[in-house]
Amino acid sequence: MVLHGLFLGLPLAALDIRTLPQQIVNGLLNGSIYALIALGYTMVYGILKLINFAHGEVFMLGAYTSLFVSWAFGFTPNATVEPQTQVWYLLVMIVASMTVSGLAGVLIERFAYRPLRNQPRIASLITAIGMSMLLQYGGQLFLPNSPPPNIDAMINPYRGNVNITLVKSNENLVAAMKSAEQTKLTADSAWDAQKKLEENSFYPSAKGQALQDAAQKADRDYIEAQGKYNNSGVSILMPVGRIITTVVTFILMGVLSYLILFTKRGRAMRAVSHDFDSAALMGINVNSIVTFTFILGSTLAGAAAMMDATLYQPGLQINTFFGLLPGVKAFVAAVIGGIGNVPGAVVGGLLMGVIESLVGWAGYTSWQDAAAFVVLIVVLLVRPNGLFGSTAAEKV
Amino acid sequence: MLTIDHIDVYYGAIQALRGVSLNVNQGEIVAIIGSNGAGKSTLLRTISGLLKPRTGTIQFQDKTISGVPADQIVKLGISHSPEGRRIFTNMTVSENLLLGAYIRKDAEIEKDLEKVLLRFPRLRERIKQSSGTLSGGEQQMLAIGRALMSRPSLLLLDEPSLGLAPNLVTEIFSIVNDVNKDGTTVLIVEQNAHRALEVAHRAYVIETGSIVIEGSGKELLEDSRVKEAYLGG
Repeated sequence: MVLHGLFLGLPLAALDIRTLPQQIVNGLLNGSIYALIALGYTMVYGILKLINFAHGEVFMLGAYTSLFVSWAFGFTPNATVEPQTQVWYLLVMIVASMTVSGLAGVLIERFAYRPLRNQPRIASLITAIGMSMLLQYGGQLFLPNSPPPNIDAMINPYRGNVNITLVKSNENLVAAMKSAEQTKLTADSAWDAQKKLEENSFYPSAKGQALQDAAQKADRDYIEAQGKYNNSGVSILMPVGRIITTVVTFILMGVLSYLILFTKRGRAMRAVSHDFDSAALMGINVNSIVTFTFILGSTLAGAAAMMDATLYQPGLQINTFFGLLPGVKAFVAAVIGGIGNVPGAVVGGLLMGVIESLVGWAGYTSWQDAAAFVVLIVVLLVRPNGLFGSTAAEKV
Repeated sequence: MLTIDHIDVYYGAIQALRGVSLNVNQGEIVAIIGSNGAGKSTLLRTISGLLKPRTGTIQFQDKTISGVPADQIVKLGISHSPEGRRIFTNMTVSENLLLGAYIRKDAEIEKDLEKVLLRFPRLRERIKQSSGTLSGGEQQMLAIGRALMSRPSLLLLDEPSLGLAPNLVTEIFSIVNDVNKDGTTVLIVEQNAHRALEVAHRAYVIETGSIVIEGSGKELLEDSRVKEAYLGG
């Protein structure tokens, strides 16, 4: 089934409904990376009421760490022998990325935000933007940036695909395809035989010309019949690397939710996010909780960066602006979900991935990056606190 | 037990406390009364470490605690139920109470939770409820219960009767009395001078940042200056 229509006066490309399941799955896989980054934004906002604009750069540092580890394992651009990958290489990469990102997050908080803790919030906000730019531009002094390096796609041992058939292809079309194939073979051999006879003549004879045309037509008919058969089914193709990325993302999010909701430290985090003074009166060391929050958010960004650059989009080029767009989109995802709200960040991230996918599906691939902001504006107009933001009045 | 010696406390350039000295003995209920803005809450916030005195010292059980951060002071045995209750409205009643016991690692937290719930049966009914949905009186009970969960030797109560119906005020003060009888020293700040002076062993009157009158609860109830200014003539 093919739909035609208009969206905001823009003509929609032919929407092929059979590719929709694939697009939604792509969106969810894509969105899980956004969700992982969005968690860092939302947790830091929950505690400090600060948008940590340098979070995207923490992500970028994680990607560079993975790159350096991959080089250390011999996956350098000018390696003469292609090295063999091992699964534990990936574990080392993700742990290293999480460590470096976590450390970067802690240092940024300690030296850029903490001295401004008791100043008006706008001071921290501007510092956050400044820190982000410092790392984007200053990073070029220290990090290989031009030409942009990438992690060798061969370090990813999971290069296969999983194919899920949702609707089987129509078996009634098999006969048509088979007969088309037969016609094609007959026409091909007839033309081949004639070709041999006319080997020495410069122009094909009228008979030869007719046989050639018939063979070409039979070829086209066969391809068409084949396409009809294939398109009568619906299936989803998922690269194994992306599945692993999504599964790891959900595990990390589960661990985080457990930590926040059911542990003593998680309770302390929620207490600090509600009221610094009251939390201190409970004996909670507010500074150590803030540090812990930065560690959590930043290590998740580090994990996301490693998976993004090796498993999710193997071979993606890395530069100091690597975190800019994912960071901004994840920030939007956090706002859509209701900033400060952990499940909201996850849902916002997944939603963002799906929306981008659908915009591409509708034929507006070049609008994909803008879609995030259109959604942001709509959500802020309709629900200024985000989808999961609380608007309930509290009794005093 | 608690000795405050000539402390000056500032908010930026504004002086909130001027040479305040007072002491609290083991087992007492001491009340601090005064009007809005006199510096009562500032005094409690300074004791619990949320503010630092610029000059003067605070000693608790022979240790100087002025300048010690708030989260360390709780561990010494001072628990502060702040003005406006400041409970964690984003959490349930039981989570609030467990946060009160945050500094403790002993096995008796459950037992103390049970004690608090016996003292405040209303909280037991609402134990799984989000604390933001409690009534004002219940929130005050939760704030006091939470403060008791750290097993303090000195309990600081800031305006526990604020905004409550008269029967609830009576209930709160009788609980304060009970808590004190069970061995906890109480320093209470109140605008409701009459009630506070009735339960207090000793009391101080604070005006614009300085202590102006001190005496036993009974003496102050009969003091003409206190009567005129705080007890409605």
